[in-house]
Amino acid sequence: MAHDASILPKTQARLAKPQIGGAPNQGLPAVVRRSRRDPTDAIWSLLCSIRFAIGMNVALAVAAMLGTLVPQMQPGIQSFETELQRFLMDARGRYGPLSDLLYWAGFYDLYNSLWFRMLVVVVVFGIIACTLNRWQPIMRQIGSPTVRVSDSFLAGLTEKAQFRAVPMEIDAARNAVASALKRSRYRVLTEGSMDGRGIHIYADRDRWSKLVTFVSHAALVSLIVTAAGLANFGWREQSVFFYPGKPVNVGHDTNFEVRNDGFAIEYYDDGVTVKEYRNTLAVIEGGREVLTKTIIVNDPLNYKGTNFFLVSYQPVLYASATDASGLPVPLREMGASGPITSTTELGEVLIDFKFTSTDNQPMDLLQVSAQDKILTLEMTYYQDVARVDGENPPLYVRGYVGKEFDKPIFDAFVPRSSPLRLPGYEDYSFTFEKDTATVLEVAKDPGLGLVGSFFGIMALGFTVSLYTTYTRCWAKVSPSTTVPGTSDIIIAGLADKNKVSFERDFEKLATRAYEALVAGSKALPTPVDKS
Amino acid sequence: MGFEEYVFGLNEATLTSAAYVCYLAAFVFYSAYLISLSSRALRVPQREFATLMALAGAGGAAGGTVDVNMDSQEGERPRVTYAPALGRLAVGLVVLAWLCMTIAIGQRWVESGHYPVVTLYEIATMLVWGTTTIYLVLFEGILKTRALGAFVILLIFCLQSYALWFIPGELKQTVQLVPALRSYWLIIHVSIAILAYSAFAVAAGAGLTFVAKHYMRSRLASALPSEAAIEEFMFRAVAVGFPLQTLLLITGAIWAQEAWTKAWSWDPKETWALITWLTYAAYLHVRVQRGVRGITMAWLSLIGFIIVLFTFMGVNYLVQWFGMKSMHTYSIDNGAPAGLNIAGLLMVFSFVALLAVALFGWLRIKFPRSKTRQT
Ligand code: HEM
Repeated sequence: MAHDASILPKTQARLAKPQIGGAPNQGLPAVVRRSRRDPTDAIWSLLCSIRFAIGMNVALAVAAMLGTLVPQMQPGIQSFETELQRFLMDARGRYGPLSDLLYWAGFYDLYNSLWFRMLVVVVVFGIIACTLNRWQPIMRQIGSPTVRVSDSFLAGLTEKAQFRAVPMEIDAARNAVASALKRSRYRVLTEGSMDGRGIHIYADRDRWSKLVTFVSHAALVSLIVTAAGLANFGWREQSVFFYPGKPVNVGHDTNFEVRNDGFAIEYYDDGVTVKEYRNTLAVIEGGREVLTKTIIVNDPLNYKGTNFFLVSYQPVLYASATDASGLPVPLREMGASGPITSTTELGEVLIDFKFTSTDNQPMDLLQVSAQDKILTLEMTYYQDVARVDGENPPLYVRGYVGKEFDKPIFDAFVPRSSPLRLPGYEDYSFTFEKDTATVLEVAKDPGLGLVGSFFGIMALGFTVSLYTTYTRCWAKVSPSTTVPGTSDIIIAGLADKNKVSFERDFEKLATRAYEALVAGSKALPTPVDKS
Repeated sequence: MGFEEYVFGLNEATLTSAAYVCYLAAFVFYSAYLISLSSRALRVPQREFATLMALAGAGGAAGGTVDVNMDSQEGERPRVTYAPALGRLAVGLVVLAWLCMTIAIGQRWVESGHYPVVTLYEIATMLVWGTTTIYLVLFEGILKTRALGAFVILLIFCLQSYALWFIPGELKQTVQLVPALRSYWLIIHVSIAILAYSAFAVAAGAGLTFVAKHYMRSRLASALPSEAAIEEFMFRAVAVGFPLQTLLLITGAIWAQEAWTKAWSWDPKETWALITWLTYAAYLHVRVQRGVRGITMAWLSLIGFIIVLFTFMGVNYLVQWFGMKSMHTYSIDNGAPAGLNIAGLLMVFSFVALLAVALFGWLRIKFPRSKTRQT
């Protein structure tokens, strides 16, 4: 860079700025690289570079975007081999051979992939590096500003007001200008000029606004780091079934149980659309009921830092069967891998509809031995079919004998009010009683308050930075060269941002200076020139 | 349901249509205002400093945005102009449109029994309302600039055209709130979203104005404020939107923690809100750190707004076409026909446009090497 002002007079004004502690909007001179070949220095200056910061910002946005265009795996699916395989089959159908590559590159779990995390880490380091790099220059700029500036620097600023031959001594003129600046909320510093004849004035406003950027970015870093760190301390059980009246301990060293004490559902006037559903939960600790709360979707139960969120609900049935003599017959419920026996003392079995029917309704299977045959009941639950209280639930049953699954012996809804009897097996009667199980998500997320506070500080910081402007003015008061006994005054200003608004602001300042000068002098300053 | 109820003899459909006509008329009058301004170069004779000060104190003739040409010939007097009257008429129409929209939204609120922001139609309507509000308050009220009206109102008109013409009639009906949305957070969170995105819409209107000023060599361009002024107005709108966007993410996380059990779950909608936030953060860094002030900023704000549109409305289509799951789908669950309708095509188009403009804009971001570059 050429510094020879006599050769390049025009460049002078622009070059002058860094001398007074950095140009307004541009990054301050970065720490000078000692050696281009030193790799740590190279990485450092890359992290500090603004282009890199903006690039990373955009990269993060694009990566996040990709995750919304490629289907993502359900969290935790990796531990369910069949589910995972089904997902991958779908993906292969969608992307063909590319699918394996996408899987390998973590695109199906993008936000947890190594490269996405690395991206976030790089952004965090970028912010830290940039902050460290800017700290000193900024502190120097706002802590020890240059009061004495060159005439060409003043001339180079766009906002200027000049007053020539003001009939005042320079000290009086200095006081007038300083009072005008103070009225405009400026902090004022003065120094005598090099030649001892004039006075330099420096004034600034809202210099702390420069520091707010550090606060907000520090909050951003803390937010990311804390959120990432805390993720390792919480736990989450995604769907825990709470059957009516049965206390559940969710594990994870919790020393209390929670019991589903009732479920209610409310519909809109159309009678079909669900308006709200509620689940009353009782917390049992040390054998005592310590708390009950009715939760809804928007209002979970929090007990000792563990949250119980109402996610959904499911019909359950208590099924039982009796033979001709009225004695209970053991029923066997079908598990995913074959029949299982889960008969309660009363001969009841809890049907929780593990399957879905072809028309997407809750479905389950039940087996019973009758007259040396195995009877299979396929039960589908139709929630939308209206049945009043006291009637049998809206259960559609297909009954099969042995392995003849193509020839149902019964194919209808269970009767409204009488027990179900299958043709040919009338000695056996089946009764069903309806209830509702709730599906809760139980989780402990420690430290969310801390993350939230950082978020709040950051938001506040951004707002303050955007609405405050670091503004600086320089003025020089010197004895007039044309009219003895009078002063020449030049005031010039520079705003960090919002230059157009600053134009108006500066005009107000100039008016104040003008008024102060008029008030302090015997006659009007003449002539007056504003550019 | 939805369009039949009458209040004061005016139903929602009538009111929204009235607003639509007002916007169109306002656009015409804003344009006429600009033409009228450009038909004469506003010349102010050289004045004394004190007089100029008084002028500046009064905010200038047209809200401080008129270039006061001090080099003009001494003594020439401004000719009679209809510009102020046309401008006032245009603003009056916008206020009228705003009133119509406000009443229409109020009616829908009363009728549906909930804050009407759950279907795509309602959201688009709210965006129209919000953009008008931010425009009136920020540009007409605080910044006292009228010359950007034409482009902002044009944008509002396009948004409302989308709401009125491209959303199928059956999706304009009110729906019942699902349990997850039955929370006061619906009002807080969605209102913030509307205001944030509206502010970005206003910024995009300023961006359009900037592009027009930059590339048009006609007389009309002379009626517009200087590029520096337009750029600053644009920034002021982004400065309204960005903190709101930050708040949007916070309130969203709080609500999600209550209703969806998890503060952040990378749902497409929240991810896109984050993308929007990052985009405008990039905008601010380009401006604040690099000191870029030129046409680049206009392109960035337009890119930003396309992303906003996608966040606000496009995510629904993402759900339809890519089979993505989202808990934030407004009307899809309410029987929206799957497949490409015109609104869908519009979204595809804007997505392609987004990529093109993003590329174009990125190429245009000139990263000045010199640390001393100004303006
Ligand atoms: C690599 C990452 C980042 C770096 C190095 C960085 C650095 C900076 C710097 C140096 C400034 C200018 C401050 C000034 O001159 O007054 C700034 C401003 C700002 N940054 Fe960042 N930042 C980063 C990431 C982010 C992110 C992710 C966000 C939010 C999404 C953000 C939001 C802001 C905002 C809103 C401002 C404007 C403040 C103002 O107007 O003064 N930054 N950043």
